[in-house]
This record gives sequence, C-alpha cells and structure tokens, in this order.
Amino acid sequence: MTNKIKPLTNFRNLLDVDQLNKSDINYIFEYADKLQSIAKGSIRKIPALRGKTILNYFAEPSTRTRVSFENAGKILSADVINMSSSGSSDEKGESLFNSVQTLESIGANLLVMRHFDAGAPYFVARNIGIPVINAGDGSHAHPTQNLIDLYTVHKKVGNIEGLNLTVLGDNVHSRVARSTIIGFSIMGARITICAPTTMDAQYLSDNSVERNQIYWPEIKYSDDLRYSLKNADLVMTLRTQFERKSNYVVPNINEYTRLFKLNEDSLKSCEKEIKILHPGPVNLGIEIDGYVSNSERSLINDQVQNSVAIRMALLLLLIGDYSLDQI
Amino acid sequence: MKKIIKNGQVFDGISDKLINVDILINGKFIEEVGKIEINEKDVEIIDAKGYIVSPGFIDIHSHLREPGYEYKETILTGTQAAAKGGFTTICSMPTTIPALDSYDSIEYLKDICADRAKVKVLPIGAVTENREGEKIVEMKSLADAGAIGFSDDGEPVSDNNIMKTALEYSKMVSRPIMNHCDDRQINFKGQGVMNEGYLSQRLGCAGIPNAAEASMLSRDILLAEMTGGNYHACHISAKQSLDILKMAKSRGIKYTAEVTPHHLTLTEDFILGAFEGDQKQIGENAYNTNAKVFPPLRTDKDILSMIEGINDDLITIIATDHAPHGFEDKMTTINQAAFGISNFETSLGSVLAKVHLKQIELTKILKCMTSNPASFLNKKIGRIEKNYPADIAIFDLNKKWIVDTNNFVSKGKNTPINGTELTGLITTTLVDGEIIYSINGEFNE
Repeated sequence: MTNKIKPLTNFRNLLDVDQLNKSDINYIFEYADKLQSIAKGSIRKIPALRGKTILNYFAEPSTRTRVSFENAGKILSADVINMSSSGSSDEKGESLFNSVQTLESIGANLLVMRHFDAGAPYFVARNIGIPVINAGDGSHAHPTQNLIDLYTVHKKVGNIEGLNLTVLGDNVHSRVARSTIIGFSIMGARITICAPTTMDAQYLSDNSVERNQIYWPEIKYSDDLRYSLKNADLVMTLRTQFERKSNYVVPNINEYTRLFKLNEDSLKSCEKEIKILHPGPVNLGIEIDGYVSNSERSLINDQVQNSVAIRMALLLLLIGDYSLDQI
Repeated sequence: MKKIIKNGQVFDGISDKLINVDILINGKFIEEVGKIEINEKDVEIIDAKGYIVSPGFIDIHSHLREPGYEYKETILTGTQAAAKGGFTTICSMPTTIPALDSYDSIEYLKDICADRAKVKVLPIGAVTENREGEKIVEMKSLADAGAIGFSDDGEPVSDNNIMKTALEYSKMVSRPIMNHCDDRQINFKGQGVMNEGYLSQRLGCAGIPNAAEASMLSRDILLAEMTGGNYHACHISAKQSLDILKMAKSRGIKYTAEVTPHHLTLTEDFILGAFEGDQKQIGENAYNTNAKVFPPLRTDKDILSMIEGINDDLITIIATDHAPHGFEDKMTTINQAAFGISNFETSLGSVLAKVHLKQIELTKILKCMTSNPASFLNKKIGRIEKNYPADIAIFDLNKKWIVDTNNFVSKGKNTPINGTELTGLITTTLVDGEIIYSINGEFNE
C-alpha cells in the first residue's frame, strides 16, 4: 500500500515555522524519532527517496546546513546536487528567476535554498513547481534550524510548554532569532530577548508597537544578561554577525563581551538548571565562552546530531511516497 | 472645425463647485465658457453628459525613461499612458542616460518629445552633474533650454552645502529645487527597501524610517528659510514630514510639497502581496516587489497625515511619480528589485477613492492636479477659462473598473493594485484642442 501522505495542512513548501502549528511540529518530531534510528544505525540507508533529486542551492556560505541536508538526502537514497553561487551562472549575471527556471527544468524534485536576500525562497516558491525548503534567507527566517532546536529541547529537556527561553545577541539581523521566537512560542515557551539596545529588533520586542495580523508573540526584552538568565530554562546565544552591521552598533568587541558574553560568571545568576543552545557557527570567546559551550549544559552537539533526522523528516514529508508506518 | 463640450459638470480649475456649462474650443484654445448657442452643424460636439470636465491634469513628477531606458518606457508609451490617465502636461525627471544635466540634453529631450510625445512634456533638469550630488549644474543654461526646475530625484541632495548653494543659485532663474528627501545615514547606506517598522523587522528587511525623510526635509526647510530659495519637497510620505511642513507654514517659509496617489491610498501591507485579511502567516505572495517604491508605502497613520496635509493646504500638489519598470526589474527578490510604481493610468481612480470615502473634496483633489501644479510651473495652463489652452480631461466619477496591467499602454506593468477595483475613469483627453485619447477610440494619431 502506498498512500501519499501530506498530514500537515498546506505543506507544499517550508518557508518559515509560522506556517506550522503545534501538532504539525509534534508530527515532524515523531517522524524524526523514527528516522533518528536509521541515521544512527549501522546500514544508514533506506530507499525512501530513490529516484528523486534534491537540489541544494546555496547562494551564501554554509557548512552545517548544506552538509546536513546533503547527508539527509543521501541516507534516504535521493540524488543530491549541490550548487553554490560561486562557480555557477550567478557569476555570469544570471538572474535568480532564470536560474530557478533552469533548476526546475533539470528535473529536480525539491529545492533546498539559502539566499542572502530576505524573502528569496518566497519569490522562488511562487515561480517554481517543486517544493522549496528555506535553508535561511537573509535576516528573515531559518525554519529547519528552529525545528532542530525544538526537537533537541524536546528530546533533552522534555515538554517545551512553559519553559523560559532567553535569546541572547544580535536579534535584529538574525534569521535564527525570528524563527526561534516563532517556533518556541508555538510550542508554548516564553521568550526573553537579551541584547544591546542597538542589536534589538525594537518593533518586535516592544509589545506596545502597533502591529498587523501577521503572527508574532508577545516577548520580553532586557539589556541585562544576568537578569534575563535568572528564570531561564534555556538560553540560545546567537552568532554575533560582525560581517553585517554589528560592527557599527557596539563600541567594540571588548565591551560587548564584557556585557553580553555567556560565561561561567554570568551563568551564576541562573536559578534553574539551564541548557544552552547555539545555532552555529560559534564565535568562540565573543558571544559564548569555550568552556561553557563545551560543558554539560550545552546542547550544541545534540543540535548538530539532530539536524539530519529533522531534515530527513522534512524531505520525506514534502516529497516522500511512504507513510510513517512503512519506514 | 470648432469643438463644443456640452452637458458636462465643469470644474474650472479654481472654484469649489462644479457648474453645468458648455466649453467652446477654437483651434488650440478655449474660446468661450458658458451657455453657448451655436449652430450644431458648425461644430464637433463632445457630449459629456454624466461626466465631469476638468482642466487636463498636470503631473510635475514622472519618469519617461527615454533616453537610456527605452525598455522601461518611451516618450511615446509614457505620454500615451499619461493621456489615458487624463494628464495633458507632465514633467519628466532627469533619471535618464545621460541625466538631463546640460543644455544639450534638455534640447535633445525637447526634440524627441516634439516628434513623439502625445501630451506636453516639460523637462526637469538635474541639480548636480550626472545626479551625483557633487557639483551644481549650469542652472541658467538649463533654464534657458526649458528646465522647469531641478531635481536629482531618486537620489537626495545629501550634501548640506550643495543644497544650500543650489537653493541660493537657483534664485537667479526663479526655478525650484525639487528634493527627494532621504537621509542616507538614517536610511543606512540607502539599504532600506520598505517602511521601517513592525512589518520590515518581521520580514527581515532593511527599513526606511520616517525620520530619514523628515530629517532631510527639516534641513531643507531651514535652508529655504535661510536662503529664500525656491524649494519643493518631492513625494512626502511620512507623518513626521507633515509636522515639519506645519512648522514651515507657521514660520511663513516659502515651499511647495507634493504627495503621490499611492501614499494617499496604500499601506505597507501590500508588501505581503495578495493575502487573506485574517491570514496569520507570511504567505508565498509576500515580498511583493510591485509594492516596492521610494518613498516606501507606509501606515494608515501616515496616510491620514497626507490627507490632512491636502485638506490643510500644507501639501498642494498631487504628483504621480510614475516610475515604469521592465519585467526583470521587478521579477526578483525585494532587495534586488527596482523602486517604483507605474502610475499614470491608475492615478485618477486611486485618488478619487479619497473623494468617495469623503476624506477629501473632489474640487480639492482636482485643484491639486490642475491649477496648483500650474501655478507651481508658472504656466498658463490648468484652467477652463477663455484663452487658456484647450487641455481638458473628461471623466466618469462613478465608473467602477478593475485594474488589469495587460491593458496598460505604459510599458511598465509594475503596480501593486493590479486586479483591484477603482472607481472613476477617464473617457476623453484633449491636448491643445485635439482629442488625444478617448475611451472608445483609444488613441488618435
């Protein structure tokens, strides 16, 4: 019996976590649980996506996301084609629109894309007939990273409902921050942003700002690291993006680290057993201390390990022909 | 043969009410306005029963793209689109290649317009050479060639001293400096692509804060006061800018200001694309590049300020900022896409929404499109009065129609209101007594 299953409502693309609800996310977790055993098993290969082609299109540098998608595709026996901007026709001035038409014509079944422009996957999704997974778009969203983080907390800590999560660092430029805030809120966590005022997305953290109907949860903001860690069950340190505007918005790295680095000292203010997340890549010594990121409190390695299972689940949900029981 | 426009409700350009009179046209000029008894065999009758007859609209801010960007628009297509929108005189911004920054380039534009233009085209010269903001142009030569004002539109005059110099120097030619206000430090490196606020941060897009516009406007207003120069603020969009204009008015500082149809009617939500009103997530249609325009579409509060600005005579001109673009300019990501809306053909229907919503009086709107821009240009146009040129727009105030860019004569199909319903449509446009456009016969050669 082969029944195409699309249990998630309108799950044609994965552009951001705001398109999912709690039960959708739990369903993805169930899938990932099952796939985790395959990813960690001895044979590490099932033919679930045999004959399907996945295109990894990365217009911006990436290590872990690209490799983890590639690995996920290969474990599922898909053919995976990697394409980056350098060395492609992007350098000859081919427009994204034309590139996308080409990619579809080549016969890919699914496009995984990373792009430096916010909204690029939305533009592509409405101009292409195959599913698109957003693997990070500018400062907007990184939904697969968020699902990995949620899954990691779900496995290591348990129920996410009611947990206090502090998101630490440059949230104004961070695509991870946006997806984190949306995803953890959908699962019932309470969010506090901690950042210098110049790195805070003020219109998102100030609940008195008038908003339209597009989903955004109420969150708290603090510029005091110790205060914001006090009741936290989880802290996610964001990468300080000094390659973006960040170098202009804090006086220097020295003052930033003195005020906002997660280290043994700042962690003393925690009243609960805190767990630490970081979406990577880590600027060791700037946003987080090396001892801390390698301590038992850190879930950073779990995040990386879980990334393949979650991405396998998403690939199967979008282009797989088998139901969960058949795997 | 003479023409007579009969049975219409006539707006003369300056009155606060419409009157039922006939308009007799002899050659290029209006010969008589009133109850006209004439043997109908001797004249061509234009029956305007049920329609409003207005002086042809005057647009002091548009982009014709020729020379240099003929794939976006040409003099022919641009002026045809203008005629279809009821415009009889349009001013063309120097955003061409080469920029209109010399006597010769203005002469050249006039030459090609004489050949190809369907409506009257008045050139706007650049403020600075090649619109680079560094060295002012030969304003006297450009004015002699026919430049009605100076603007680096698309680019602000960022340098404070250049702006001061330009305002002082332009006094010799009695022409305005028309500035596109955008502080490129507040709008950091000019990277903003949409209104700054909740939506821009939610979408991860660089924002253009209201303060970026209002800050440069306040500089300009103070320089206008100091120099006594002739200053015009292009496309005002932000609530804060209106507050600056209030200050200017209260201090008696001489200035003029314009607002576009889209900044009177559309909010930043158009960036979300076609979406359901109760939709909670950002849909596939989001990052709609056709809603990317400079200044950006802002919020309901800003729109209310713009309406207040018109009603309180702080803003006296409605200008289209018609900015046609080619397919590839908009068929990309929001960051890469060009700014601008193709506006000629939807301007009237857009601004009449303000009348139908009872936010602005009809005659007020029409003044902002006829006699007010005419006095800005210091030209004898924009009125229905004896001896004025017979530049006339006739329209159906209550005609409902759906915007369909496939029917645009402009090459620019870029508008966020494609598919939406407008109320109010041009039926006939006359330039110098000739019917240039009529809804039944389309364009006359």
